[in-house]
Amino acid sequence: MEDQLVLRTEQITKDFPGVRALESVDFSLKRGEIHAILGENGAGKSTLIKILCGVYLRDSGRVIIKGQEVEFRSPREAQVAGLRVIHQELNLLPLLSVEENILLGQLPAGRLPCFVDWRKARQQATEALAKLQVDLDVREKAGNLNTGNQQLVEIAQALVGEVEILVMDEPTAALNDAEIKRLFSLLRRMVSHGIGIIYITHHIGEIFEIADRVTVLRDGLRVDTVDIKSTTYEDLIRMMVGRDLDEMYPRHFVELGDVLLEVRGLNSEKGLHDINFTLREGEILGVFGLLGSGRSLLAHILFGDEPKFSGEVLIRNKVVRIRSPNVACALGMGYVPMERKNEGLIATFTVHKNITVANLSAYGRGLFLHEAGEKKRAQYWVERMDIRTPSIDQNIQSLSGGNQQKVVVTRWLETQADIMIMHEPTRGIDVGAKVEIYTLMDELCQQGVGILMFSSEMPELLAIADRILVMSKGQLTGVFSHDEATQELLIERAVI
Amino acid sequence: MRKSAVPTQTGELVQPKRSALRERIRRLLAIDAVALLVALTLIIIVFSFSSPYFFKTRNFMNIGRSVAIMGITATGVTIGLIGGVFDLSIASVADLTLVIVSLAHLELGLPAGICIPLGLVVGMLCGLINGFLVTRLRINPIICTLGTAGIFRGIAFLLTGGQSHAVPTAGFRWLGRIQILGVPSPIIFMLIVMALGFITLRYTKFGRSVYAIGGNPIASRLAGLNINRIRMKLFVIVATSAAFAGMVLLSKLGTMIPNAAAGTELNVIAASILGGTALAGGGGTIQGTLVGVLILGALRNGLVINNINPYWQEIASGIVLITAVAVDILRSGGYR
Ligand SMILES: Nc1ncnc2c1ncn2[C@@H]1O[C@H](COP(=O)(O)OP(=O)(O)OP(=O)(O)O)[C@@H](O)[C@H]1O
Ligand SMILES: [Mg+2]
Repeated sequence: MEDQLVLRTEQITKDFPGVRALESVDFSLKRGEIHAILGENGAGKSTLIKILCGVYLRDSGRVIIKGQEVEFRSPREAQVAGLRVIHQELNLLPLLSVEENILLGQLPAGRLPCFVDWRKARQQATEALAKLQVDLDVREKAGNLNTGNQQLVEIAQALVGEVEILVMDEPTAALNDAEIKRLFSLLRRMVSHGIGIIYITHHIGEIFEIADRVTVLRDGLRVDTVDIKSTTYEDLIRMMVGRDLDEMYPRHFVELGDVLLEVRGLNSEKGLHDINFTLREGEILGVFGLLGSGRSLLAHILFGDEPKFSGEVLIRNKVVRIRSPNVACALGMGYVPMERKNEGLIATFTVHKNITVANLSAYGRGLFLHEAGEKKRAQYWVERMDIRTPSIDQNIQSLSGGNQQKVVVTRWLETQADIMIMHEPTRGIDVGAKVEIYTLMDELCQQGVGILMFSSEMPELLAIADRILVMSKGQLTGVFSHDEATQELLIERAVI
Repeated sequence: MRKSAVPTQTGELVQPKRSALRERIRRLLAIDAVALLVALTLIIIVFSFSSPYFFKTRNFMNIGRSVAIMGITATGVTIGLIGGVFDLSIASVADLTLVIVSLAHLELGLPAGICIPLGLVVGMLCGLINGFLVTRLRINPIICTLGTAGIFRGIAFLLTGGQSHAVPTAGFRWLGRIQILGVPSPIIFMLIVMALGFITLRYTKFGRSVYAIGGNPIASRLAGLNINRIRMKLFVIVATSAAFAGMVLLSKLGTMIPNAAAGTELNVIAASILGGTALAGGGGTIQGTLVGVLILGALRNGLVINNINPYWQEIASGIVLITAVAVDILRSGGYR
C-alpha cells in the first residue's frame, strides 16, 4: 500500500496575514491515479499545490515524495524530483516564442557551453505540443496566441522531460470542448504509464469524467477524500459549500422593458460583418461563439476599446459614438473583462480601491476624495457580495480567483451601470460563487439592467439567457429564444 | 478561513519563483521608509565625524538650498513616474523657461510679476507638447522626451546665441535669494511644492487615478478612466514643476545661462527612485522623495566638505541611481 503512494502530505498548515489558508491537511496521491481537488474560491487549493512544489514554504507539516520527506525551496527543485505544475494563472512571456516558452528554464544545452541546441529545442517543443495534439507554429510569439492556445502552451511546458507527478490547477478554464477532450485522453494515457495526477477544477462534471478520487477542501480544512464511484454530484456540492444548493440557476424571467442598446450593421475590418441586435431592459442576451468567432472583438467594440468600426450603435434610441471606454462608462455601461489579471485588476491596489476605481467622482465633491465614504461603500459591497478577505485594505492579489472576480463585478454595481457587458463572468470561480453571480445578474435584470453576456459555457447560457446570439467567423449565425435553444443548435450554428 | 484583524503588509505577499534569500531581502526593503531614514542618518553620522564643518546649522541650510531646486522638480517627476509617465526633458524645460523669462525681462522689459506666470505657461506648453506626442501619436515616452529635450534645449540656445547674460534680479530675488525667518526661500518653495504634491497624491481623486493608471493602465482604461487625459495632465505637472525650478535657479544664479540645469535630470530621477518611487509605475510617495533628495544632497555636500575631487560627486550620483534602481527591482520583481 505504502509504496503505491507517490506523494503524501501530513498535517500541512499555512497562514497568510489574517488568513489561515490551510489547516492540518492530509493528502495522498497514488501512482497512476487522477486525484481531483475540489473546493470553493479561497478554500486553499492553489495554496496546497504551491506548497507541494516549493513556491510557498509551509508553516508546519510534512511532504513525502516516493517515501522521502522533502522540502523544496523552489519550483526548480520540485521539477528535478519529477513534479511538474501547471499554475492557475498564465505565466507565459508574451514576447518569447512558443518554443522558448515551452522550454523556459529547460532549454537543451548545445555542444559548446552556454549555447542552446535550438534544433533539439524545437523538436522537444513540437513533441510536447504533439502530445496534446495541437498544431501551433512554435515560432509564433506567445503574446499573439488566444487565451486557449496560451493555456495549451502552458500545459505543454509541463510535458517536457521526466514527469512523475503532474499537478494541474484549473487547466480547462480557457479551453473549448474539443481541446478538453484531447487533454483528457492525454491524461488517461499518462496515468496508464503510472504517472500520478493532481487535478484542480471547478467543473464537477469533469471530475466524474476522469478522476479516480476526489478531496474536498473548505476554508483550509480537508472535508473528506472519497472514491469517485461512491459519491454523487450533490454530495460533492454539499461537502464543498457546507449546505445544499437549492438552485443552480436562480432566474426569474421578467417582462422586458424598453430597448437599451441597439446595434445596426456593425462591421469591422478585423473581422465582423453586419452585426444587428437589440438588448432590452431586464434582458440577459447571451452571445455564444467558439474562439475566433469575433465575439471578443464585438465586446471590445461595444465598450469603446476598439474604435475602428462602421455601423451604428444606439443607446436608448440615440445614436452614440463610443470612442473609448470612459465614454462607454459615462453612457452607463459596465464591463467585466475576460482576463481578470491583465484587464480587470489593478494589482497594486487594495480591495477597496479596486472596487471604487470606476466611480471616483462619486466620493466627495470637487477635487478631493472622501476616503471614509468610499471605504464605507467598499465595506458594504464586501459584505453584500460575501467577498472573502481579511479586510478591505488587503492587497487584491492575495484574494482567490473567485473573490477577485466578485470585486471586478462589484465595481460596476457601484457605478450603477444599466448596460452590462460581461465577458466570461464565471470563469474560474466555484459553484457557490457562480450561483451568487447568477443571482446577482437576475437581481440586476429585475431592476431593469440589460446584460450582454459573452460566454463559452453553454449550460449557463441555456439556463439564464433570455435569448442567445450565436456567432461564427464574424457573423451572426443564429438567434434563439430561451425556449428554442439547445446545445446541439448552438454548436451547429457556431461551427458554420 | 479564519479572519482576524491582523494588519496587512504587501511585503508579506509571496510571489512565485523567488529564492529564500531574495525573499528575505525583499521583506526588509518593504519597510523602505525606515531603511531610507537609516541610510540618511548613517550618511550624516559618517560625515559629521570626518569633517568638523558638516554638522552645523549653516551647512544644513546649504544642503537644503542645494537640493531645493532638485526637490521641486523631483516632486513633479515623482507624480509622473507613479502614473507611468517618464520625462527626460525636465532639465531642458527648466533651461528654456529660464531663458524665456530672462529675455522677457531684459528685452521686453516685462516686470517679474508677469514674467513668472509666463514661465509657468512655458512649462505647461512644453508639457502639453510632450503629452500630445505620447498620448496622441503614441510615441514611447522615453524616446519622445529625449527628442523634445533636444528641441527645447536647441530653442534656448537659439534664443540666446549660446551666450550667458547677467539678469538684474530685483523682481526675482524672492524666488531664490532671500531668507524668511532664517530659512532660504528655495527651501520654503520646495516644501510648499512638496506639500501640494503630497496632498494631490494622497487626498484627491486625480491622485488616486494616477496610482491606478500606473498600476495597470489597461485595467484602468477598462474601468473608465480617461488615461490619455490623465497622462496629459501628468506631463504638464512634470514640466511645470521643472519650469518653476528653472526660475528659482535663475533667481539664485542671477545670470541667464542657457544650459544651467543641463545634466540635473539624472539626479532628480535618482532622488525620486531612491525615495521609493516604482520605476514601473503605481507606487511612490512625496515624503519618500523628500528623503531621497536629502540623501543625495547630504552625500554631495559631504564629499565637497571633505575636499574630495568634485568629479566624485557625479560618480556618487550615478552609483546612487543604480543602487536605487536595484532596490526598486528587488522590491518589485525586476525588469520584465
Ligand atoms: N500570497 C498570498 N498572500 C496572502 N493571502 C493569500 C495569498 N495567497 C492566497 N491567500 C489567501 O489564502 C486563501 C486560499 O487561497 P487559494 O488561492 O489557495 O484559494 P483557491 O482554493 O485556489 O481558490 P480559487 O478557486 O479561487 O483559485 C485565500 O483566502 C486567499 O485570500
Ligand atoms: Mg486557485
